[in-house]
Amino acid sequence: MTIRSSHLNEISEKLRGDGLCLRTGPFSVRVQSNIQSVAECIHLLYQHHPMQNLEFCDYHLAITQPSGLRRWFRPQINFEVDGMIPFKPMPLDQAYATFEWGYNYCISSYAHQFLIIHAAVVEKHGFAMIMPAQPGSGKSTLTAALASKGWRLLSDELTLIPIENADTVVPLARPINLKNASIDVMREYAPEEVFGPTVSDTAKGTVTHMRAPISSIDRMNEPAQQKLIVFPQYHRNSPTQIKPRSKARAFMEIAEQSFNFNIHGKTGFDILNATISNCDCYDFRYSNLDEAIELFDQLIEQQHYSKESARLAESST
Amino acid sequence: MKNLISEVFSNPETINHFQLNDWDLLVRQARNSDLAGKLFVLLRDNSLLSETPKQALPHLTSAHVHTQRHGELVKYEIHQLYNELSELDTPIILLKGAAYVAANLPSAEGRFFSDIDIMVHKSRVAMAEDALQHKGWRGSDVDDYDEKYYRTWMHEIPPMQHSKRGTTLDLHHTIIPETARYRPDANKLFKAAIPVDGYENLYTLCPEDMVLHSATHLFSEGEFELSLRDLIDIDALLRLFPTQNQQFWQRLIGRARNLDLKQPLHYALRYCRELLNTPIPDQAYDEARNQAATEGPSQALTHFLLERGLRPNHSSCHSSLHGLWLWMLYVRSHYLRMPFKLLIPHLLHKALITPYEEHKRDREAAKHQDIHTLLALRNR
Amino acid sequence: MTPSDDTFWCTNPNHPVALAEWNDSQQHEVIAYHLGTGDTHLITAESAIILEILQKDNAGMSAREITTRFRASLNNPDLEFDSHDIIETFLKPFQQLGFVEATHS
Repeated sequence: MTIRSSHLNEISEKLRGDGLCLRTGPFSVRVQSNIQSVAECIHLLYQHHPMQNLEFCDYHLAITQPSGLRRWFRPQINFEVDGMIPFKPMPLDQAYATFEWGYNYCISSYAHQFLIIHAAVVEKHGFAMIMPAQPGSGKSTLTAALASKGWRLLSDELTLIPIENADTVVPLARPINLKNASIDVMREYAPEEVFGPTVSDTAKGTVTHMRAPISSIDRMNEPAQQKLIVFPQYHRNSPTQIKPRSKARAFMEIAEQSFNFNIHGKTGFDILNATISNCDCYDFRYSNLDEAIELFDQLIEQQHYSKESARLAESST
Repeated sequence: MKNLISEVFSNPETINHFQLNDWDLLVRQARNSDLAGKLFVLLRDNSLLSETPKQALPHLTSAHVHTQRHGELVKYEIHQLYNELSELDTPIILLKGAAYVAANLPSAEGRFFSDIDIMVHKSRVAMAEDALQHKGWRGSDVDDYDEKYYRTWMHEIPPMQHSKRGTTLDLHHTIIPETARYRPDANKLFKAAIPVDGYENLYTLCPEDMVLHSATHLFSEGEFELSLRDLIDIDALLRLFPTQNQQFWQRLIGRARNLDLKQPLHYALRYCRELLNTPIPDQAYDEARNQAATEGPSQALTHFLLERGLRPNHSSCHSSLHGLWLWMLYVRSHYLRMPFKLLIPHLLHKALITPYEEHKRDREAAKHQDIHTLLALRNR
Repeated sequence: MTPSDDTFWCTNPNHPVALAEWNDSQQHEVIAYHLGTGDTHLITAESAIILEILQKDNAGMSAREITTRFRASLNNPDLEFDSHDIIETFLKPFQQLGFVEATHS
């Protein structure tokens, strides 16, 4: 049963009561909130996501507006994880965004059954392309654009490598966080996609969220094989350029972008070593989304073609 | 009010009767009480991991992996610290978590230790502080008031932080502030200390003193959020030491008298038995109880407060007045640590300048900052 | 402590340095992950050889011994360097990073 099957009023009532449990890939999250905008955003952006019963949910999140005078003067919300408040209150209009960031916080703090890298990851032909988050990368815009053009969205923020199956990447298929200029870029590039409300004056500037494509959500339990690591850099008017990056330097950057590499010690090191070895690593400069996607399509086709040729060669011997 | 932590630690087989929503609650209570790693160890040691549902198991395994790695890093930290202090040529006793790790005790596994605690003779404190400062240790971020609190009133050094490694170190010359109600003779602790394998001049407290130190620390503590975890540490020591030495219980009771720590010992045995079903011989239990104060209204109030303070750190175990009980325990701890004439001004300062609730929340918030900083910090 | 000929250099088997390399670029760089500190470093191929020499035999060895073994592992026998160079170029920086410890024999 998906969120879609419930009316907004029912969603709102559940959130104000015992909570609503959403499934995203390997995790389930119980959400409670007395804030209407949270209900509206969940109803819109998680419309195709499955709900599950409340018996066991991995994380219990609550985004609530406390009663008291603060309700009317610069209203704030509290964010709770499992009944604890880990950080400062946020302004009311950032309630839904806080839910998304808070969910990221939970996963990156507690989900050590995965090696977690701060990177976007998309998939085509079963191959995962990982794009680490560096300033100026424009990775979220790229991720959103790729998702709108037939690539499967695994995640815009968290690349999850299962410790027990370390050649793969596991999806979350959650809404994509867009900020500032990329909001207008994506509204123009893919007007058919569904966007949540825009919120200004956050620590990241203006943010919104784009709903994940239905096909990505339907395949949220399907891992992808590690194949490409691309370090994007957006430069205005830059031609589309790609060149190989040394694996040692790719390792350094990925380790830097990993939330829990050091928690896994030697195991984490071995897994990252294997991931880097599994993947072709590239530095990528671009300014034009269509050209960027065309190049990625070619890259992945090459991989697909090589794999198919190898498979055919094997089956004919 | 379901205290599932106590239920499971008292009798691990209880999990066989759990429904999935019990596991949901248990994971919350464990995580908030810093006991998820220990819960994994408990289930593993009782061959119950296979009975743990697949929804709950990753939470416990994750916590265990995290604490295991943390233990490795603590070992490295001890090694570095030893190198930094070896020139002093004076006995150094590791206390609490660092001691558990160095001595490879069961208490070490499954949990985090935020600081390294060491003890040297009082006459060597200034030298040790000096040596540490030369090796990159700095006074950590305490304000002027807190600095005065530590040095002038408590006769302690404020915590130090390593400028490169970021570790926090507490340098002591006794196991409880000099000004406190209990005054164990530190020389006796040094005399009975046990050397750490492979490190000259590095020691841990002997088993009885380790239990008494943990008990004194826990029952003079002001912050009770993670007290159940500390009680479980004591439970682990009380399960281990009798197997290593038949005389352990007698020595423990005698030592409590000798060091004038009879009250904390009684509390430790009482709450370990009540909350964790720790196997304690009746004779030992009765002797410890008889030599401590157990009657009277102040005892009744203390029991009332401790019983509430020692619950899992989750709303499912708290009444609406929980904040009040925690505040009273906080006041009590200062009463135990400070002479009365200092207590009121101190509490007033804390009450007016940093009201208790906000102080705690600010401290937590300052630690975690905003979500973005936190997510960025996670990379380190 | 000023290193001398008596100085023994050793890695710590409880907190080893894990190494990874790929032959995919001209600058032959190696990843060194120190399990004690949790820090990851990019080091030269030569540095990695020195570390491997030390980690093979955790009992520790003198700079002279390290230099001999290092020379044997290189393809270029004409390179001029001595144990003092080894100390300055590799061992002292390693000591700073926590990879190695120096003790007097």
